[in-house]
Amino acid sequence: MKISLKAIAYTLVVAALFLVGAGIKFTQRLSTPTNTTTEQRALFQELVVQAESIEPTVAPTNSILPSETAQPGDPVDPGKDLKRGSLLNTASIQPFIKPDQEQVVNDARVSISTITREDTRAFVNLCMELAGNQEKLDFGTLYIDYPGGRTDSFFVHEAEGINTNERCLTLEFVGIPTDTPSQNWKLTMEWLGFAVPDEGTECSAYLRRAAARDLFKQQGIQFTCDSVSGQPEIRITKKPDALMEAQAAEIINRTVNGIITGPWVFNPVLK
Amino acid sequence: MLCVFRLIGCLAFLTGYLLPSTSVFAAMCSGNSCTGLFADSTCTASAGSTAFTIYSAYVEPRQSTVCMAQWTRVTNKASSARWTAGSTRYGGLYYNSYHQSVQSSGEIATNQAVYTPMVGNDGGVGVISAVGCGEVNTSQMMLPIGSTRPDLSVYCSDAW
Repeated sequence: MKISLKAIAYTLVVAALFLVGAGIKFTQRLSTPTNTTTEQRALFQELVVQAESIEPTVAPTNSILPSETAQPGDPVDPGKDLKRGSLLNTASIQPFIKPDQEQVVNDARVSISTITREDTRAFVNLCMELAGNQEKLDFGTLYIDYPGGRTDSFFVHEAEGINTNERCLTLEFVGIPTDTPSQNWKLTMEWLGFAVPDEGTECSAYLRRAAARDLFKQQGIQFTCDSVSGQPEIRITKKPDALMEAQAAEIINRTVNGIITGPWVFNPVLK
Repeated sequence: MLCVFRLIGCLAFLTGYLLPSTSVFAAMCSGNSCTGLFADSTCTASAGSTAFTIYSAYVEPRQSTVCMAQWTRVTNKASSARWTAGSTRYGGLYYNSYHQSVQSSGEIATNQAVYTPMVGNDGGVGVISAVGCGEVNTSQMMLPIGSTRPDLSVYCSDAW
């Protein structure tokens, strides 16, 4: 079939017009921010001028020496120790210590490595895995009991796992007196769950997780989810008559947050 | 024939103009215009300075190079529901001049999070040094988190 030059030319013109229209729309979206206030922008310009001439007076230290005022036997304030910043970069801990203890509770496998002590810190690698799970896992209520105290304050660093399905973290517990004996420690995690969804994806994640656990089929519960002032807002649309609103809400919360009750309790090896 | 092509051309232009742009191509805001807004998925968030847990509050400094903004996410890691609040503090000698803060409207479930409005700058992420602060409690808290000296507060991160 012969195609005339005229027809080709007209086709190209049509295509060009389409792209021009789309391009104009795209440019408009880029240059028209939504929900802004002139006042906030003016405030921020002033702030930039101030910030450029100011240096913060407190800089975190990476020193591995004990804090200046601490003496052997003194209790260490976990909060104040936290303000010294993470010491992971200067610690002698290996980049990844293979977990050597594991427990399975409610189908969730948690493993931990030997605990490395340095300064007022205790470093441990902790890995979590849930059979058949596709969601990213996250730690729950977690603490170390040691002779004379407990610490539930820690820095969180991502770590490489051995298995593709597991999530591993290097946890840097703080506030442990340097003369604490290295025997009879206990590490406890009371529950674990799904990682918080990235900003703006909460509702889609919640609905996906509810569907994966067959929430309606198993429990007779349905809900809607909307983003309100940046936070996901859940509204129950269907529930069994025998279930109170608060009970249904609790079931939904546990489902969309992936809560798995433990505890996983370890008597770790220290070095 | 010419009329047909002209009609098609007009329709093509209008179609291209009226079709919604996908979020892949345009962030919700950029730099200064992000200040005070809550980040959405177009901002493609990543970690800021080192996250930490303090008294059951998991505090994560967050940032977006796409939106050129910083904010803080705070997750309730207690075993039961808690009031949960966060502040992104910036400006002044001790980061105490300005803040973007949020608090849950009541107790929120374990493993749920709140995140503060953004602090943006046309120069990019980290041009304005900020600290991210967070706390969970059994009762409503006063904002901003981190009190009068966020640089020293145990509830606040390192600057980033």
